[in-house]
Amino acid sequence: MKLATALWVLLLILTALTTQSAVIAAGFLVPFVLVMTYIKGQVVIDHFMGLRHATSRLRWIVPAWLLVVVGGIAYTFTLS
Amino acid sequence: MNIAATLPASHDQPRTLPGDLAIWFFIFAELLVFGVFFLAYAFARARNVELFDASQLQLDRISGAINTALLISSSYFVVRAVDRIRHGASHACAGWLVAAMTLGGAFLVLKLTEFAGKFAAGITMSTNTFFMFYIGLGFFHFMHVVLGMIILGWVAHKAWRGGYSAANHAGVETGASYWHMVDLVWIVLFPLIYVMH
Repeated sequence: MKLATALWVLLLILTALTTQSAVIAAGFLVPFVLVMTYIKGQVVIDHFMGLRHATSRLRWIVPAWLLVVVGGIAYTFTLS
Repeated sequence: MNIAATLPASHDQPRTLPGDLAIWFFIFAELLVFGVFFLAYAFARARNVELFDASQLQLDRISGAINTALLISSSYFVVRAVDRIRHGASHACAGWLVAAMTLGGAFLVLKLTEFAGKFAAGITMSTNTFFMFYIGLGFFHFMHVVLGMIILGWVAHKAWRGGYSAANHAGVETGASYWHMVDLVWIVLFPLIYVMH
Protein backbone atom coordinates (compact mmCIF):
# COMPACT_ATOMS: atom_id res chain seq x y z
CA MET A 1 0.00 0.00 0.00
CA LYS A 2 2.96 2.33 0.39
CA LEU A 3 3.37 2.48 -3.39
CA ALA A 4 -0.35 3.18 -3.90
CA THR A 5 -0.22 5.95 -1.31
CA ALA A 6 2.87 7.50 -2.90
CA LEU A 7 1.19 7.36 -6.32
CA TRP A 8 -1.95 8.99 -4.90
CA VAL A 9 0.17 11.89 -3.63
CA LEU A 10 1.95 12.04 -7.01
CA LEU A 11 -1.39 12.25 -8.82
CA LEU A 12 -2.50 15.12 -6.58
CA ILE A 13 0.77 16.97 -7.21
CA LEU A 14 0.47 16.50 -10.98
CA THR A 15 -3.11 17.77 -10.81
CA ALA A 16 -1.95 20.89 -8.97
CA LEU A 17 0.77 21.43 -11.58
CA THR A 18 -1.77 21.05 -14.38
CA THR A 19 -4.10 23.55 -12.73
CA GLN A 20 -1.34 26.11 -12.25
CA SER A 21 -0.02 25.68 -15.78
CA ALA A 22 -1.50 29.04 -16.78
CA VAL A 23 1.82 30.55 -15.74
CA ILE A 24 3.61 28.47 -18.36
CA ALA A 25 4.46 30.15 -21.67
CA ALA A 26 1.74 29.56 -24.24
CA GLY A 27 3.95 27.48 -26.51
CA PHE A 28 4.69 24.97 -23.75
CA LEU A 29 1.25 24.77 -22.15
CA VAL A 30 -0.29 22.11 -24.39
CA PRO A 31 2.67 19.67 -24.41
CA PHE A 32 3.15 20.14 -20.66
CA VAL A 33 -0.49 19.46 -19.82
CA LEU A 34 -0.68 16.51 -22.21
CA VAL A 35 2.43 14.91 -20.67
CA MET A 36 0.95 15.41 -17.18
CA THR A 37 -2.34 13.90 -18.35
CA TYR A 38 -0.62 10.90 -19.96
CA ILE A 39 1.44 10.18 -16.84
CA LYS A 40 -1.61 10.45 -14.57
CA GLY A 41 -3.68 8.20 -16.83
CA GLN A 42 -0.92 5.60 -17.05
CA VAL A 43 -0.53 5.54 -13.25
CA VAL A 44 -4.26 4.92 -12.81
CA ILE A 45 -4.23 2.20 -15.50
CA ASP A 46 -1.14 0.39 -14.21
CA HIS A 47 -1.51 0.65 -10.45
CA PHE A 48 -5.12 1.54 -9.58
CA MET A 49 -6.84 -0.56 -12.26
CA GLY A 50 -4.14 -3.16 -11.72
CA LEU A 51 -3.50 -3.78 -15.40
CA ARG A 52 0.27 -3.72 -14.95
CA HIS A 53 0.24 -7.29 -13.66
CA ALA A 54 -2.68 -8.56 -15.71
CA THR A 55 -1.91 -11.34 -18.15
CA SER A 56 -4.84 -10.99 -20.54
CA ARG A 57 -4.05 -9.62 -24.00
CA LEU A 58 -7.02 -7.30 -23.52
CA ARG A 59 -5.01 -5.33 -20.97
CA TRP A 60 -3.43 -3.36 -23.81
CA ILE A 61 -6.72 -1.82 -24.86
CA VAL A 62 -6.91 0.76 -22.07
CA PRO A 63 -3.28 2.05 -22.43
CA ALA A 64 -3.81 2.12 -26.21
CA TRP A 65 -6.98 4.17 -25.70
CA LEU A 66 -5.07 6.68 -23.57
CA LEU A 67 -2.28 6.94 -26.16
CA VAL A 68 -4.69 7.44 -29.07
CA VAL A 69 -6.81 10.02 -27.23
CA VAL A 70 -3.87 12.06 -25.92
CA GLY A 71 -2.09 11.76 -29.27
CA GLY A 72 -5.23 12.76 -31.17
CA ILE A 73 -5.76 15.79 -28.94
CA ALA A 74 -2.10 16.76 -29.44
CA TYR A 75 -2.55 16.52 -33.20
CA THR A 76 -5.58 18.84 -33.21
CA PHE A 77 -3.60 21.48 -31.36
CA THR A 78 -1.06 21.49 -34.21
CA LEU A 79 -3.91 22.43 -36.58
CA SER A 80 -4.73 25.68 -34.78
CA MET B 1 -8.33 -28.58 -0.13
CA ASN B 2 -6.86 -26.25 -2.69
CA ILE B 3 -4.56 -24.05 -0.63
CA ALA B 4 -3.74 -21.74 -3.52
CA ALA B 5 -7.41 -20.90 -3.93
CA THR B 6 -7.62 -19.72 -0.32
CA LEU B 7 -4.68 -17.35 -0.53
CA PRO B 8 -5.34 -13.68 -1.17
CA ALA B 9 -4.18 -12.46 -4.57
CA SER B 10 -1.07 -10.33 -4.50
CA HIS B 11 -0.34 -7.23 -6.57
CA ASP B 12 2.88 -8.95 -7.64
CA GLN B 13 1.29 -12.13 -8.97
CA PRO B 14 0.48 -12.34 -12.69
CA ARG B 15 -3.30 -12.20 -13.03
CA THR B 16 -5.93 -12.01 -15.72
CA LEU B 17 -8.04 -8.85 -15.84
CA PRO B 18 -9.29 -7.87 -12.35
CA GLY B 19 -12.95 -8.66 -11.70
CA ASP B 20 -15.45 -10.09 -14.15
CA LEU B 21 -14.54 -10.11 -17.83
CA ALA B 22 -17.97 -8.71 -18.72
CA ILE B 23 -17.27 -5.40 -16.95
CA TRP B 24 -14.16 -4.95 -19.08
CA PHE B 25 -16.14 -5.12 -22.33
CA PHE B 26 -18.47 -2.53 -20.80
CA ILE B 27 -15.45 -0.40 -19.84
CA PHE B 28 -13.96 -0.70 -23.34
CA ALA B 29 -17.26 0.42 -24.86
CA GLU B 30 -17.49 3.38 -22.47
CA LEU B 31 -13.93 4.43 -23.19
CA LEU B 32 -14.62 4.26 -26.93
CA VAL B 33 -17.61 6.59 -26.58
CA PHE B 34 -15.72 9.05 -24.37
CA GLY B 35 -12.72 8.90 -26.72
CA VAL B 36 -14.90 9.83 -29.69
CA PHE B 37 -16.39 12.73 -27.72
CA PHE B 38 -12.95 13.96 -26.64
CA LEU B 39 -11.61 13.92 -30.20
CA ALA B 40 -14.81 15.53 -31.49
CA TYR B 41 -14.27 18.34 -28.99
CA ALA B 42 -10.61 18.68 -29.99
CA PHE B 43 -11.36 18.84 -33.72
CA ALA B 44 -14.27 21.25 -33.15
CA ARG B 45 -11.95 23.45 -31.12
CA ALA B 46 -9.35 23.47 -33.91
CA ARG B 47 -12.02 24.99 -36.17
CA ASN B 48 -13.19 27.59 -33.61
CA VAL B 49 -10.13 28.42 -31.51
CA GLU B 50 -11.13 31.97 -30.54
CA LEU B 51 -14.65 30.92 -29.50
CA PHE B 52 -13.42 27.96 -27.44
CA ASP B 53 -10.66 29.93 -25.72
CA ALA B 54 -13.00 32.82 -24.86
CA SER B 55 -15.69 30.47 -23.55
CA GLN B 56 -13.20 28.45 -21.51
CA LEU B 57 -12.32 31.61 -19.57
CA GLN B 58 -15.83 31.49 -18.08
CA LEU B 59 -15.15 28.13 -16.41
CA ASP B 60 -14.04 27.74 -12.81
CA ARG B 61 -10.75 25.90 -13.18
CA ILE B 62 -10.29 25.55 -9.42
CA SER B 63 -13.64 23.79 -9.15
CA GLY B 64 -12.52 21.38 -11.87
CA ALA B 65 -9.21 20.80 -10.08
CA ILE B 66 -10.94 20.10 -6.76
CA ASN B 67 -13.20 17.62 -8.53
CA THR B 68 -10.11 15.95 -10.01
CA ALA B 69 -8.58 15.63 -6.54
CA LEU B 70 -11.88 14.20 -5.23
CA LEU B 71 -12.07 11.51 -7.92
CA ILE B 72 -8.37 10.62 -7.68
CA SER B 73 -8.69 10.29 -3.90
CA SER B 74 -11.84 8.21 -4.19
CA SER B 75 -10.03 5.94 -6.65
CA TYR B 76 -7.22 5.55 -4.11
CA PHE B 77 -9.77 4.68 -1.41
CA VAL B 78 -11.14 1.98 -3.72
CA VAL B 79 -7.60 0.60 -4.10
CA ARG B 80 -7.47 0.41 -0.30
CA ALA B 81 -10.84 -1.36 -0.25
CA VAL B 82 -9.60 -4.01 -2.70
CA ASP B 83 -6.45 -4.47 -0.63
CA ARG B 84 -8.51 -4.98 2.53
CA ILE B 85 -10.77 -7.62 1.03
CA ARG B 86 -7.72 -9.46 -0.34
CA HIS B 87 -6.75 -9.81 3.30
CA GLY B 88 -10.24 -10.94 4.27
CA ALA B 89 -11.18 -7.70 6.09
CA SER B 90 -14.77 -7.27 4.90
CA HIS B 91 -15.80 -4.41 7.20
CA ALA B 92 -12.64 -2.42 6.44
CA CYS B 93 -13.31 -2.98 2.74
CA ALA B 94 -16.85 -1.64 3.12
CA GLY B 95 -15.52 1.33 5.09
CA TRP B 96 -13.09 2.35 2.35
CA LEU B 97 -15.82 1.97 -0.26
CA VAL B 98 -18.15 4.24 1.73
CA ALA B 99 -15.31 6.77 2.00
CA ALA B 100 -14.86 6.59 -1.79
CA MET B 101 -18.60 7.09 -2.28
CA THR B 102 -18.53 10.11 0.01
CA LEU B 103 -15.93 11.77 -2.19
CA GLY B 104 -17.95 10.77 -5.25
CA GLY B 105 -20.94 12.51 -3.66
CA ALA B 106 -18.85 15.62 -3.05
CA PHE B 107 -17.88 15.54 -6.74
CA LEU B 108 -21.56 15.48 -7.73
CA VAL B 109 -22.44 18.37 -5.40
CA LEU B 110 -19.59 20.51 -6.75
CA LYS B 111 -20.49 19.66 -10.33
CA LEU B 112 -24.15 20.51 -9.77
CA THR B 113 -23.11 23.81 -8.19
CA GLU B 114 -20.98 24.53 -11.23
CA PHE B 115 -23.79 23.70 -13.66
CA ALA B 116 -26.28 25.75 -11.61
CA GLY B 117 -23.97 28.76 -11.83
CA LYS B 118 -23.77 28.43 -15.59
CA PHE B 119 -27.53 28.03 -16.01
CA ALA B 120 -28.11 31.04 -13.72
CA ALA B 121 -25.84 33.04 -16.01
CA GLY B 122 -28.02 32.09 -18.95
CA ILE B 123 -25.55 29.57 -20.38
CA THR B 124 -27.07 26.46 -21.92
CA MET B 125 -26.04 23.81 -24.44
CA SER B 126 -27.42 26.12 -27.15
CA THR B 127 -25.14 29.01 -26.20
CA ASN B 128 -22.32 27.87 -28.47
CA THR B 129 -20.36 24.78 -29.54
CA PHE B 130 -17.98 24.97 -26.58
CA PHE B 131 -20.77 24.96 -24.00
CA MET B 132 -22.56 22.19 -25.89
CA PHE B 133 -19.50 20.02 -25.25
CA TYR B 134 -18.92 21.35 -21.72
CA ILE B 135 -22.46 20.62 -20.56
CA GLY B 136 -22.97 17.51 -22.69
CA LEU B 137 -19.71 15.81 -21.76
CA GLY B 138 -19.94 16.97 -18.15
CA PHE B 139 -23.47 15.59 -17.75
CA PHE B 140 -22.54 12.33 -19.51
CA HIS B 141 -19.63 11.86 -17.11
CA PHE B 142 -21.84 12.96 -14.19
CA MET B 143 -24.22 10.09 -14.93
CA HIS B 144 -21.28 7.67 -14.94
CA VAL B 145 -20.27 8.88 -11.48
CA VAL B 146 -23.85 8.26 -10.31
CA LEU B 147 -23.79 4.73 -11.77
CA GLY B 148 -20.37 4.11 -10.25
CA MET B 149 -21.65 5.16 -6.81
CA ILE B 150 -24.61 2.82 -7.13
CA ILE B 151 -22.23 -0.04 -7.98
CA LEU B 152 -19.87 0.82 -5.11
CA GLY B 153 -22.84 1.08 -2.74
CA TRP B 154 -24.07 -2.35 -3.71
CA VAL B 155 -20.56 -3.82 -3.35
CA ALA B 156 -20.05 -2.09 0.03
CA HIS B 157 -23.36 -3.44 1.32
CA LYS B 158 -22.46 -6.98 0.26
CA ALA B 159 -18.96 -6.63 1.74
CA TRP B 160 -20.38 -5.41 5.06
CA ARG B 161 -22.65 -8.46 5.19
CA GLY B 162 -19.66 -10.76 4.60
CA GLY B 163 -20.47 -11.57 1.00
CA TYR B 164 -16.81 -11.43 -0.06
CA SER B 165 -13.67 -13.09 1.23
CA ALA B 166 -9.94 -13.18 0.57
CA ALA B 167 -10.50 -16.04 -1.84
CA ASN B 168 -13.68 -14.75 -3.47
CA HIS B 169 -13.82 -11.02 -4.13
CA ALA B 170 -14.24 -10.67 -7.89
CA GLY B 171 -17.28 -8.50 -7.26
CA VAL B 172 -15.19 -5.93 -5.39
CA GLU B 173 -12.63 -5.85 -8.21
CA THR B 174 -15.41 -5.49 -10.77
CA GLY B 175 -16.86 -2.43 -9.05
CA ALA B 176 -13.36 -1.03 -8.50
CA SER B 177 -12.47 -1.38 -12.19
CA TYR B 178 -15.56 0.57 -13.22
CA TRP B 179 -14.85 3.34 -10.70
CA HIS B 180 -11.23 3.66 -11.90
CA MET B 181 -12.55 4.02 -15.46
CA VAL B 182 -14.75 6.93 -14.32
CA ASP B 183 -11.65 8.51 -12.72
CA LEU B 184 -9.50 7.90 -15.82
CA VAL B 185 -12.02 9.61 -18.09
CA TRP B 186 -12.13 12.69 -15.84
CA ILE B 187 -8.32 12.82 -15.81
CA VAL B 188 -8.49 13.48 -19.56
CA LEU B 189 -11.68 15.57 -19.51
CA PHE B 190 -10.47 18.13 -16.95
CA PRO B 191 -7.34 19.37 -18.77
CA LEU B 192 -9.00 19.15 -22.18
CA ILE B 193 -11.99 21.36 -21.35
CA TYR B 194 -10.80 23.45 -18.39
CA VAL B 195 -7.10 24.01 -19.02
CA MET B 196 -5.78 23.59 -22.56
CA HIS B 197 -6.10 26.59 -24.85
